[in-house]
Amino acid sequence: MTDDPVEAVVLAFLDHLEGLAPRPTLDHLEPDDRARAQELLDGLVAARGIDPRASRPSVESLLMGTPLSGLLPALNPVGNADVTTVARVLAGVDPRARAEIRPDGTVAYSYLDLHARFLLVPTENPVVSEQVRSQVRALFEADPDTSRVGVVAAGSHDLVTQLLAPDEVGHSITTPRGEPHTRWEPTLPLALAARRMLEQSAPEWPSFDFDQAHSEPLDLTAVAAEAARRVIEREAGRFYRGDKRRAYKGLVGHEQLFAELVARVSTHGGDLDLMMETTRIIQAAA
Amino acid sequence: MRTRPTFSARLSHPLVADRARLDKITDNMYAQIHRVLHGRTRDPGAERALSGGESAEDVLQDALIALLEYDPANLRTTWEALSVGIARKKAFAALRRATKGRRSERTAAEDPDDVTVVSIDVAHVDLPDESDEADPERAFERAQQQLVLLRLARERLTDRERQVFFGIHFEGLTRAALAADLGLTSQAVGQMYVRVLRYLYNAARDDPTFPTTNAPTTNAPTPPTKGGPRDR
Repeated sequence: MTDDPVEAVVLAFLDHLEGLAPRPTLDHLEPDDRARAQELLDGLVAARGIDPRASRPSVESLLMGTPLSGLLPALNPVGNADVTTVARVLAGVDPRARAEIRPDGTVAYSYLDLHARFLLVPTENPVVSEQVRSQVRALFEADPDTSRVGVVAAGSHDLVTQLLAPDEVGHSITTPRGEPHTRWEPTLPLALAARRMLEQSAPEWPSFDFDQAHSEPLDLTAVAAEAARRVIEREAGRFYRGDKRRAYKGLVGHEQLFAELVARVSTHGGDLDLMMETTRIIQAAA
Repeated sequence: MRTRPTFSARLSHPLVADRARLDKITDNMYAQIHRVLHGRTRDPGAERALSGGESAEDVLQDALIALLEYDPANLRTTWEALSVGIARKKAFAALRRATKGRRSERTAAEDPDDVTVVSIDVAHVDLPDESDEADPERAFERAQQQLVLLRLARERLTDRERQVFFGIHFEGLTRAALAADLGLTSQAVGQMYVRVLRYLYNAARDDPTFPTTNAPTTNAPTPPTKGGPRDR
């Protein structure tokens, strides 16, 4: 039990919502406690139905293909994107991950062991110039846990982003054909780039219900009967001669005897003489 | 008769010019729509789509378009309050479309299906409507508070605390159902919920985005919010 009268009221209200008790009154509470309790109960009612795992579609995706799609450039003026916009877009990518504006003007994006930074550059494409490269390198060096830095083109409509790993901003070796030794990730709109990074670093696996799989008991007799049927059918189809041929032919249709034997062995354990039982079955079949 | 604003008028729409406010309002409309569609459902584990395939996102799109098409010259309240009205109206309309023709529990056996329309009130009878319908400003604020709590819960709670808080607070799961999932007693789940709730409200009061304009004032001390609910 709780000593806090407000928390007691909240628990009583949960009883009410679960149909276990009538709605609690607040009359016995002091005015301050009553106000606090009312706020909590109002909040509980206001929260019902909000999907805590849903991420709201972006305004852009909602207006795309509608008569108001012409507003999109006005909603994202070229060159006008700021870190707040970047943080907002990132926050909408996956509810598991956290986006936070840092004092250095970058946006930190993290989930479990994944730590990334997003750096805005005032261009229409995320070109990694020498200056940008040194900024990215400084971000990696400042925090060794950072595994990706995204260079976001503030001047692009959909915040085109180039994701970089630490080994992609150092001195690179050029191949004889003049190509860099590593290939950078493709440039993508910010939300897609973040989604791709998350899926590579922290994939979501569909849940598997082990309990359900274990709840279906194994029918050992049926399995044994099926195994016996297949073995006898295969062996009886071979070109054996003499007693062996007659024995297998005779066993066809008597598979259930083996199944019963398996069932008896699994029930009685070591009480049965398997060899004797098998001989008995073969003799019966013959 | 209401006239639709021209395209140039839409470009100068106050919400188009203020992207942060538009995003905040859109977040709130999404919450309001979810509340109407799923707030009082009897089966918390039910699929979050309406029969007919319509989803909260479809309703949100309708609501956002209606909001941006609204002529600012006709605005008699705030955009926030207007957005609540539009979102709820669109959500109720979607519910009506989805429940049209569905048999009510009170329908006489001899009534044919195709003439029985279940009203929203009959489909959701368990709780009285405490949705601030008469005060959309307050409804906006309350939903906004819950969105702040939701963000803080995502950021600061452990998986188990989050499961309990989300389950009871947003999804309407019973403590007994959560207790069975978590291997705890119902009482322990209830205690964890109130502990987390207190922690989140205290953390929210330190959060600049937590709206408190019309919230009831309280002299209750606000404990520090360092650490997590487990430390309190």
